[in-house]
Amino acid sequence: MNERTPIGEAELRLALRGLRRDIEPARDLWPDIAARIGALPRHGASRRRHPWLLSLATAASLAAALGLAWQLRAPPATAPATPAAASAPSLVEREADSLTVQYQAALRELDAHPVPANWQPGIEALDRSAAEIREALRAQPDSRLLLERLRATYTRRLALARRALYA
Amino acid sequence: MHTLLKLPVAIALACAALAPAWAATPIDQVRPLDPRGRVEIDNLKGRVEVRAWDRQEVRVTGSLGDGVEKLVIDGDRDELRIEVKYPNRSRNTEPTMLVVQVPLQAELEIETVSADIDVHGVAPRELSLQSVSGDIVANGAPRRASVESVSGDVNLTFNSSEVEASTVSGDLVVAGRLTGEASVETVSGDLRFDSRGERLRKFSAGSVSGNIAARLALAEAGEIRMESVSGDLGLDVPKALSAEVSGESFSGDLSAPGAKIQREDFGPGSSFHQRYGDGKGEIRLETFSGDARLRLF
Amino acid sequence: MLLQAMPLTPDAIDAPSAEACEDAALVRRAAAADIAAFEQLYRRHHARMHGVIARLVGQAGARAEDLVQEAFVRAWQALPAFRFESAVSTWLHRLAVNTALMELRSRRGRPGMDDDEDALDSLPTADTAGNAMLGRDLERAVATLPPRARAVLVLHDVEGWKHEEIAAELGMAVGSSKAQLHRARHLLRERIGGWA
Repeated sequence: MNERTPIGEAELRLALRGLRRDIEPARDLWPDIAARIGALPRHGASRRRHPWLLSLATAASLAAALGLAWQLRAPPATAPATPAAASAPSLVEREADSLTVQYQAALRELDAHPVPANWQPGIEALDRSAAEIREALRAQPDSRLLLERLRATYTRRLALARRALYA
Repeated sequence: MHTLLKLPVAIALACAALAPAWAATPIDQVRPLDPRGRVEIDNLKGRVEVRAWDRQEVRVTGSLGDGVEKLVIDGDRDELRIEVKYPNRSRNTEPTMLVVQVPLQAELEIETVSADIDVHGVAPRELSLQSVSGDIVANGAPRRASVESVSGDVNLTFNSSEVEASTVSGDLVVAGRLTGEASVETVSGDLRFDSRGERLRKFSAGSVSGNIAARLALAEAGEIRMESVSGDLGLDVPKALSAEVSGESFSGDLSAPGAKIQREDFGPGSSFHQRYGDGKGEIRLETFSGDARLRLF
Repeated sequence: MLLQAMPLTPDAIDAPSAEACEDAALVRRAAAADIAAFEQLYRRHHARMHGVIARLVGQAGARAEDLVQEAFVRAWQALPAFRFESAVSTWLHRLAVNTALMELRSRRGRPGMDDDEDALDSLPTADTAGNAMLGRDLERAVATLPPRARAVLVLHDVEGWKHEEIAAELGMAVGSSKAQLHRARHLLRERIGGWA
């Protein structure tokens, strides 16, 4: 048998990352796509017909936006001596506001669907907690702790609403 | 144990005889499973009980609630899936009671919505329990465990080296011979953690308004991080602690043996920084308005 | 806001590029029913979307191609609701992932996962010499994983998503996502273990 050299964890992880590549389909898919789009009713009408699609799209955008807050989790030590660092407090505050606005928009879409009773207590607890954190942010606007707690709470709240949808 | 298992079936049969209109269907199925095979269980409402045994088999007993579409048991010696299928938009379905006996080391993944989960005596490599409003009670020796309920209470007694547990509004208790890493989180439930004297490399606990009480020892150069918004944090560690400990709070009270609490000159906010022993590890306690207290035992 | 224009993926963080601005302009036109603009978006992003879809469903082929079309049709319909909270490429990427996952979800529990069996057949045997397992062989090994485990592995280890995102997208709890990842990595090691 061949000599066995086990592949290291890091090497495997790197190899998996390397799989991330664009792949051309075997044929041009555009003509079929154009045909399907052509067969759809006009823009305005299709909007009414796919509220589900709308909430997924918005939730996708929101999830992407919430993901941005994760990039902000740099510990204070690594904040470079750039102009950005000097304005750090207002950065956190602005992120918290922007998070809330986007979160509420997505939630409006998702909450259009009734949530089963079992999810209610958890959802209510998360809503109360988010309100508590936003209240705390008014008193301490530059708190990374609070921003992180808010992001985590919103993410859980959104995830719960979506699980309820899929259930 | 055997008579206990027969009970729900006996009741179901008796009731079926008395009132044909209500008929929870009894279950009794057996499938082979490799000692380290995987079992996935999905039940919306009712109860899921899992018990370990030393056979290379999975036995499913209990009773299917009225109105349930069917019980699916699917798979092979490697992996078995047990799912209670409900009709779409199910409103009038009765709860289903599942009692599942699994090989001691079988990997376990259980997901419910309102069904309670009760797991006893298992020792898999991997254990995953999730519920929305069901309570979860589990004990055993999983190498890695991940447990979550949203509004149910969670009570875990594990000998384990990697535990992750969270609730939103339910209470959370995690105890046992806990080593390696543990991460526990709640939003508004109360959280209690006790490693029974064992040392952890990494411990993190978070809450919004729930209180956290943790008692553990720190491995050399280990790390503890606890955060909350308005919940109180209580950390008990052995006297032989070797760590740099820092605490910070906007308006809560801080206390740590021998530590001097610094207050901000202007406005609210206080913090402390204290070295214990050689200062090899790192402990950080942070709150907004909750109190944070370190104690040595 | 500068931050909102940043793509999600850690290895692509930079200021809004000319490309991102062009995408934004195309999206605005496409949202107003300009199909030529939408075709431009297709040309720019279809290979990336096809890549992630193929990895999620196991391999490139008819099924992946159908899903790419599905994703673009959905994109066309959802464009009017796009509020530029993220880069266009990120949004399209997520839509592609969501489309593939919805299909996987609807197939769940069906016996005889044909695609996975085909993928298994194309695995090299133990006689294959050398360390050629990285690259194509790894791709094929990933294709043989059970659907849910594969989805979590691809999203986490290949695409770089976090567990919270994966859980939200798959409609599962975060713990399940982590459990599936451990399982996937374990199975993957088993399948490639004999070739090195």
